Amino acid sequence: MTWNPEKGLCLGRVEVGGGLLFWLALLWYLGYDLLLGCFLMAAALHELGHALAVWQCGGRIRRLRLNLLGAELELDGRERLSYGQEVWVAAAGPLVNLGLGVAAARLWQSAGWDGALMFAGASLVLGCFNLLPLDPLDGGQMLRSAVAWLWTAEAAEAVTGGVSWLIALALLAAGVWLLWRTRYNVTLLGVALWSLLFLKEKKQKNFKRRF
Amino acid sequence: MQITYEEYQRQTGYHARKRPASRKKQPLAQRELRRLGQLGISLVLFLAVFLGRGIFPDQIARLGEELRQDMDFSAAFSELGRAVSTGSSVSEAVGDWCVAVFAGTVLEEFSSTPPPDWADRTVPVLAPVTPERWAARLASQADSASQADSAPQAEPVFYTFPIERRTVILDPAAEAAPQAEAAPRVEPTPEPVPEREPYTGPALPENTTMDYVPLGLGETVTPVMGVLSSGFGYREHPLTGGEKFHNGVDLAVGKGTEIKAFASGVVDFTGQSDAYGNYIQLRHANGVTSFYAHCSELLLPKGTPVSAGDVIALSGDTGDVTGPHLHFELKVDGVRLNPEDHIDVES
Repeated sequence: MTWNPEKGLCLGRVEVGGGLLFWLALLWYLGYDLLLGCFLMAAALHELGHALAVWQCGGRIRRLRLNLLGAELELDGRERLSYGQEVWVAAAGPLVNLGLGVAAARLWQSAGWDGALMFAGASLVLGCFNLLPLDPLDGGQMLRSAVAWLWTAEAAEAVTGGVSWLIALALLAAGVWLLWRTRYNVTLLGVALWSLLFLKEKKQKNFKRRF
Repeated sequence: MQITYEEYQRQTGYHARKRPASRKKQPLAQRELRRLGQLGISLVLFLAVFLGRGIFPDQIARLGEELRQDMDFSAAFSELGRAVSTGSSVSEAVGDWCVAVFAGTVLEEFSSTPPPDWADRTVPVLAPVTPERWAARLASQADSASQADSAPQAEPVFYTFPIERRTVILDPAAEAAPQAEAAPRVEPTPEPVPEREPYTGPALPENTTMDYVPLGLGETVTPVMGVLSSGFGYREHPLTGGEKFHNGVDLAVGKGTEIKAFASGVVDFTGQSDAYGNYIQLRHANGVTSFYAHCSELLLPKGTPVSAGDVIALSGDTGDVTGPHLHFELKVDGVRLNPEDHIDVES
């Protein structure tokens, strides 16, 4: 385990950004410990789902990078996946989340442990959120790979970019409207700003397949 | 003469353009600066909260509450899990979660906790609406609304999420309605309705009225004799600033003053919360309820019958207060009205 000021905490092939660590510590300090734990578990299982799908398709994972904007699974470029396989890999994460979420919710009925409910909620939210056709999210990846499979890679980029911006702007508008209407619920606005930041960040890293 | 490539480079100063070694769009120094900046901001924020909590614990706690608006994210997630476990479809449950998180407040306790003091938030009710509660709510709406055009829904919805300004009606008396006919309807004694100007201020929160509402309760007693430190209606919140609607009246009295029952009835519920401190509600005839908050001591348990003027609690400064006082509310069928119309205050 090493600390690299640029990459953050490096444990083998996993890199955890410094900013993310600070925010996790802050949330923990503010008392969100159980929810944070559930969310981290849901995120870890999500990435595991991606990884399993990658390995099942014969691909190789070079690195897992975690930063404030999300998790990034970098594949070894030598084993390119087909577009169909990319859709499958991208879908694997949300599917794991949705499946486990429902399973945990049903499990609560027999086990009765409240943490299972919170984990179920976190997992379902993560799964559904990732299915949004916003570019860096799994839904966006699925859209891109599907369009690339049906038409061309350029069309895929254009369609995905357009849809992503539309959705980000719609989120922003909804966030502002809700901010005014509910005095002052900033949650959706925060999500919208995060997604805009995500899109801007993504523009700088073209063609990087991240899951 | 043949020269080496290196010699040629040195002589001409020509360097073959390097292939971009990496896909990074910014030179390394700028990226590092940006990372350092992000770390710096995170550190500053962390220190602010860390030190702030040590030095100004109350202010920080209040700021945190204002930012989160008493929203319990954890409860929203747990509720989502619960919805799915009890058979709701995932899409429906996630939709409800979205409305709760993005458009409203999640209440921590669902049973006998009255809503927050400040009725200017949109409130989705994340408690399952039982048929009894729904029927009682329809009945109260039919009573208070003059027009009954909208046909009430026959089957109870599982969640209700109004995105409007409304006060939460979590009146457990509605649950108790089928069981306890505590006080029969009293013949309303003709009360003189005072002449007054119609209300022309800002729009009221729902289930609130500025009208004079005759209660028809016979003998009523002012709970405490105190100076009216804060009246019913819009005012600036003393602790957080900002214009908010005060749901009752504040009567300034010293800690330990005996609080008398407003009228005869039965103790509806008692409880304790961060906002209201120790509170007690009485249920009287004709759907009238009276509510007393910030008490130092509650003297009677739920279900005790009381007569007008019986001592039910001692005043204090529990909950979110600037000083010891009694916060007193009056409701008729869930509609808040101005208690100043029915009690005396010290001048």
